[in-house]
Amino acid sequence: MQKGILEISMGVLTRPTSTIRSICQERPIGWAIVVYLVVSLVAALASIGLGDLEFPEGGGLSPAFLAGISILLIIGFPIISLLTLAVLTAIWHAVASLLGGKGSYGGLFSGFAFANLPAIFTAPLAVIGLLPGIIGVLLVGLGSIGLGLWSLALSIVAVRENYAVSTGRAILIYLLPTAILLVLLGLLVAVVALPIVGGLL
Amino acid sequence: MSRNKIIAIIVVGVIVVSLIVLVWVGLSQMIAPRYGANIGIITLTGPIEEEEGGLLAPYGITPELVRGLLERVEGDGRLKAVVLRINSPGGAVAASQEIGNMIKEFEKPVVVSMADIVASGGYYISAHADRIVAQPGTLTGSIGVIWMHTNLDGLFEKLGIEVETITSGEHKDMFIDPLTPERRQIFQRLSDEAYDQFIQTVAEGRDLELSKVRELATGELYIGTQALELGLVDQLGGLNEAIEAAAELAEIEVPLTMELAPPVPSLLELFLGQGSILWELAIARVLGEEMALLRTLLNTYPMPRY
Repeated sequence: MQKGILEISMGVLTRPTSTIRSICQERPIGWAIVVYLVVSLVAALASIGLGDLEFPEGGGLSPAFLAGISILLIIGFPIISLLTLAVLTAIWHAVASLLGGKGSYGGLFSGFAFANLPAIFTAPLAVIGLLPGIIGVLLVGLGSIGLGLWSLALSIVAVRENYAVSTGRAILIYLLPTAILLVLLGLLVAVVALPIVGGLL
Repeated sequence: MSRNKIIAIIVVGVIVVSLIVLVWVGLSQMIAPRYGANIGIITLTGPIEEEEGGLLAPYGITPELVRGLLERVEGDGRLKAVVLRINSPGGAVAASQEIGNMIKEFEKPVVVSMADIVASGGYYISAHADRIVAQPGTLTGSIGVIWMHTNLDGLFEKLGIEVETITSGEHKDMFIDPLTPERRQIFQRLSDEAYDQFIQTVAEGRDLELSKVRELATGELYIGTQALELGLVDQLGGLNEAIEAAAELAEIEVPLTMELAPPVPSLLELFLGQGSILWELAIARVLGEEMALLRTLLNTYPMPRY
């Protein structure tokens, strides 16, 4: 492949299947980390406009301290997000291997990192969100759903291309950890929470 | 230059410009005003209700909303006073009383700036403010209680529903049965009691004689200039005059304001929350329009309103 980061990124947005296939094969982990951090940083900055990042209320704190906390939040978010991606990729890799998929952790990690690219558009979306009233909320909501679905589709393509499985199996691999988590949560509620609630009643 | 490169440059350009706008707006709105501002401005619009409406229902004034906004002013050491910009025709009695008490007990100076109409419950919540500023053309007053009793007999008959009520307690069905002279008296007593509470509050909040308030509490609206003569408001003017009044009360030399916006409802709340258009459409679809109307009427007990 040996392409520049801009060319790969454009490829992900305009020719996703072939580009993600070569990403999964060539595993440009360094570029993947850079792209993921930049996209997460842009998303964190956009969150200021969307009002998602909670800034501490004044309460006698100095402006410099508050600015420091804000910068820490903006920088910390991409790093924590990257570590989370590394852990989650390991879970998906394990599930894919159990389901007979043959691919690499590095390929999936790189694919997932580039699949997050649509999140970069949260910045212009947040500018649209500055429109007053319900119209801003509506456009941001619909736009966020659109970007989320786009990323989801790219992630499923990454699973499919990394493990050379069918689209149906890729969807299964992608959704299985979530389904298992929900079942585990359900069991936890049944085993721990219900007796406690029952005892209270 | 290839097509892809041009698109890439446009995308990067849009992202960079967006980020510059966001950081500029974000910092100027979220950090800078907090350090300069010393007067909070809260806008309260719509009917006073216990719960807010959905997408097409007007977003009203609720105790929860007012509590949240006042707590933000209370917790911000730099804000020395608050201006409540009110436009409300009134609403539920208990919700008005709860908000009125919050304003009464609020420790920082509160100035009410009346917009087009601040009537009935709207006036009730204003009465405990430290100062009331109204426009000459503001409609205010309407000190009184209204209680509408809906007779559902016709609707029941149309829907083919025959209702037989079994009650323990002589007047347990007083909300749904037609008014008898005896029950009319009971409702009248309750209405009078709520009316007396209103008069008491206005007399106390405005430091007026009870007898004087009773005299002007005919339920009629007063225009700003009349309200000033009657002592229902302190001065004529708009938001700027209210800010000046707040600055004077809080001994602020240079008033700098900060608007406290109510929380923006989520998409889910707008579309699926109780009272939202989708919620009401779903109810009408499932039950049919007439049954949906009946459900609404049965759920809305006839309550006294300020």
